[in-house]
Amino acid sequence: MAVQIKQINSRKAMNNLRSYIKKPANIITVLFFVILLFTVCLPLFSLVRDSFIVHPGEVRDVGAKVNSFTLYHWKTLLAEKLYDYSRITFWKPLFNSILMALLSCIISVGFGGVVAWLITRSDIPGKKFLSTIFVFPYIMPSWSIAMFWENFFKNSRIVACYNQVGMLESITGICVPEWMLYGFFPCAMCLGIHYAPFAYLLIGGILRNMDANLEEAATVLKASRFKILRKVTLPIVMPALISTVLLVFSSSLSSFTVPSFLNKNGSFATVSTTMRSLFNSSSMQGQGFVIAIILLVFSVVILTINNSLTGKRKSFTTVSGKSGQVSLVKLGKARMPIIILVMIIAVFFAIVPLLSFALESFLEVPGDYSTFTTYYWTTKDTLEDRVFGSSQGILVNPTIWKAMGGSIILSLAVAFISGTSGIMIGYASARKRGSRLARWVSNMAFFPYLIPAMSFGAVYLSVSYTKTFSFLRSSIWLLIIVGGIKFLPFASKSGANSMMQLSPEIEEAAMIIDVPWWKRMLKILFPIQKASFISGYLLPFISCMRELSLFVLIAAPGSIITRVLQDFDTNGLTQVSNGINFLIIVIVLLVQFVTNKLTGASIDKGIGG
Amino acid sequence: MKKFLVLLTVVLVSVGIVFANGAAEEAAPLDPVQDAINKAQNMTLAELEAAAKAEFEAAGTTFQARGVTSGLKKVLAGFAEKYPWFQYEPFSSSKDQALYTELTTALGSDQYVCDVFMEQDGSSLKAQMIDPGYAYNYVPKACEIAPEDSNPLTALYVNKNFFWNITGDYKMDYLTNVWQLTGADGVSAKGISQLSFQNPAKENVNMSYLIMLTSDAACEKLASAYKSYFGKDYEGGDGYKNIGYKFVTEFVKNVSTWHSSDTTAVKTMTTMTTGQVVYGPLNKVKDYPTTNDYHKELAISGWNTTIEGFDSYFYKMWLMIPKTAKLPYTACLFLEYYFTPEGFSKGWKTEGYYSINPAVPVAEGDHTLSEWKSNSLIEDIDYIDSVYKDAGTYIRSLVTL
Repeated sequence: MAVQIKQINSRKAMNNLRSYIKKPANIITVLFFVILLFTVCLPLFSLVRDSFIVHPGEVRDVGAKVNSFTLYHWKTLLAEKLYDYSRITFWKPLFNSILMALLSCIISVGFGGVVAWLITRSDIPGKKFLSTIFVFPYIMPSWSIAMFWENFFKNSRIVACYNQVGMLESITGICVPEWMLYGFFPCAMCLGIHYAPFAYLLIGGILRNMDANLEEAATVLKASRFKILRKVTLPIVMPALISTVLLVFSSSLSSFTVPSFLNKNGSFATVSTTMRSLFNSSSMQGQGFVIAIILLVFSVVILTINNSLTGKRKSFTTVSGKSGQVSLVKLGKARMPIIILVMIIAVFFAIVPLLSFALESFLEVPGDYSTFTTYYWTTKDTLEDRVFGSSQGILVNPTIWKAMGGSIILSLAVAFISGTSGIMIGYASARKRGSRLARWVSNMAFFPYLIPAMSFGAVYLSVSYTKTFSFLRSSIWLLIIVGGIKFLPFASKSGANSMMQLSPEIEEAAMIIDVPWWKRMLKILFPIQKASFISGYLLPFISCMRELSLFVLIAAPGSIITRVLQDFDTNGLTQVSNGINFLIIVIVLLVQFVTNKLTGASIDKGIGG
Repeated sequence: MKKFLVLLTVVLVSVGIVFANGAAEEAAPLDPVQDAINKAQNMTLAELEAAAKAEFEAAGTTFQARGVTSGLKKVLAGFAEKYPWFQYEPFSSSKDQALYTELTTALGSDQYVCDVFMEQDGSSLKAQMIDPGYAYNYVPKACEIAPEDSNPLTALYVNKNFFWNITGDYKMDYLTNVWQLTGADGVSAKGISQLSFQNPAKENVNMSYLIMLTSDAACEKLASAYKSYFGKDYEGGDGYKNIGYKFVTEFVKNVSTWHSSDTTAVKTMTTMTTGQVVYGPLNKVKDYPTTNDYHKELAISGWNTTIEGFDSYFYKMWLMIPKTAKLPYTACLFLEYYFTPEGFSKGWKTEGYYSINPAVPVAEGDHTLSEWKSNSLIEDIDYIDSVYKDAGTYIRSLVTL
């Protein structure tokens, strides 16, 4: 009897297993759970571990053996009173970062939200152009905006910028005060401008898909424009607004390059610049890892709030649920002044920084426009024989173009891996909605976004120094794996958004006539959401092309363009490094433009529009 | 999400603790490399050449060097010219801390990373390489090496000085005493309030400079300059541990520009005609725009003018052999070549680089190392190591990180 029950149970288990693996969504979920457990949890585990162990450079201060367990880093960073260390090194920078992140939220939501409303709800002219260039600051690295900010506002009255005359002073004679050039305000402004397109895309996406009948009903009931905005429009865009605030806050809080660049007067420490300087010190790396964990906890809390506030909405948008005809608000006489003002601001932050990069590559002396030369682009002379490979002018330099090719191949491979994985994870999440495992996979796929890029790279550097994985050392495969995982969050978010919009019935019809899964994906799902899916490939491509911190420890010299750029920069050839920067941004913009023309995809569709 | 996070946290923390304790065992150093270095130490050059050649041919691999200065690339090329059997991996310089990360990662797992490396920042070298036993020392016989430069082996002296532009209203006599750099006015000169300095929290060499200012040798120089500048002796009693701490505090508080790159700061000096003083390496004059002439446009402390107190700060770069080197004899031979006038001058020809071999000529117009040393502060690994925790913490409390 017992044997029979055992047989029945095992048959039942086998049947359950068979029916489980029959569904592709289940296999994908399990497969990615295993993959992500290793690839994402490894750096996470390493991060936590590093905050509790003694590193080689810390033996002297901690007084314990290398790799032994210690609470020293946590205690010192959070509660060391000697020389007011904790307050100066951690608490004050944390407070500064929170203030900066809050102001950048206000700027990005205010600016991005207004432009989103103007484009989707008003009769403002030039919408297509404005919409295209408005996302440029998001595509460009945030420090390029900071660099431009400094070049524009520096002036002869500020000692910290060596009293150099900037664009504004040379054009108008106006000298802004120092607080507008360095410190809290400009950092928040640059981050706000960098993330404004993000707000525009999220809020614009909701406004575009919003049922116009609601607003029209309010109009029929003679509600004022302001009342409609307050009682109808705002409540509808509220989830996107909250989402934007939380995500911009989280990103600004951990932003490193902008506060690092705009702090020449030493007035403004943030938690991320502190973290980087602790990593830079041989005896304080453990404290750097503590900050990394605290930043990670901040982000996780913010994302949890975001998920719980916006979670209800995201499941119900379907491809058939387009809104009705939207009646546009007529701006009347204000139309032209508004478009002129918005265009000036958009062009100022989207096009001018790009041009200033190009210009700097043509100047013998930085900032001195009388020393214009094409030498650094065209010369076949050896500019500096200490750099890796050739140091000829940009256009004739084989090392630069080989590395550019390497970066493009790497970015394509990373985009393919993370984009495809993103679609798969999105598919599994949508089809297995409510499953705990699918939710875990989805959450794990987002974690790489929260881990500092350099420590993420460092973890994989140590993996490549294990005997089992030594074949990966300095190879392109290591870069592809690291990039594929680090940029997965963008793609998985995009994949999940696209899949959530598709009703399962679309696939079910094909399932009835036994169409295999891969064919259903290729012939049905992909064509319907082609633009969104391709956008999921675009985001990792863009991010990977301009990335250095992630690859600096693991890329072989001359293998990718950002390492070559760093080499030129370190050896004093800033004209060449500026020129390379310009080329990277142009290539990224070109790829985005061509992809958009060929497939209709754009980063706005990937982010959430 | 909540359950997932709780589970993840529990798993990570417990695995972290277990792993941390489990990994506490340190690997024993690999003897073959140490043995080879010991043997090489007692060989003649001809014997070492033969041993290196035999080792290289038997290993069937290429030589790898890592370093923070790109001059090493040219020394490698020169070495390959001299020894045609020698082949090496293309060299690219790294940032100091990135290189320490790579070295400690590899050597901590007993993995090969390179055959020789060149690093700076004595505090990190001692804490990350020497104390854990990750690197071995070899003393070349190519020249006589002073004890303070032999272990660890000093590959290079590099000096950082004070620069200012003399094409405007500010001439050679603008800066005559280091106490001017604290911003305080003295008896015979006025304080300078335009000081550009790279953040010591990001540039470890500047941290070592500030720490060395608290040493006895520096205090002596500072006290003498103080008397000359203020017309009285420094008597203390103002809460500072010594005059060095006082100088460091006031110097750091007087910094008006925290530049992020010495190279860019020196390059930009062509336009700094309104009294800015930049602290940076003398060797950066090689990056001065070719359209300008630094000989005519710049005053550089110790080079074409002198200041009371000290003219410059010398930091060192060191050459060591990692414990997992595959080609230790070749590494030793490379070090022998490096310290010859031929080897060194392949890598460094301009002002601001100094070999410990007096036979290596300095750049035209520059002073010799011994001349420089008379009015300079010099990096001392042992002193920095002994006060790093306290002085480092104090300095970090003064600067915005």
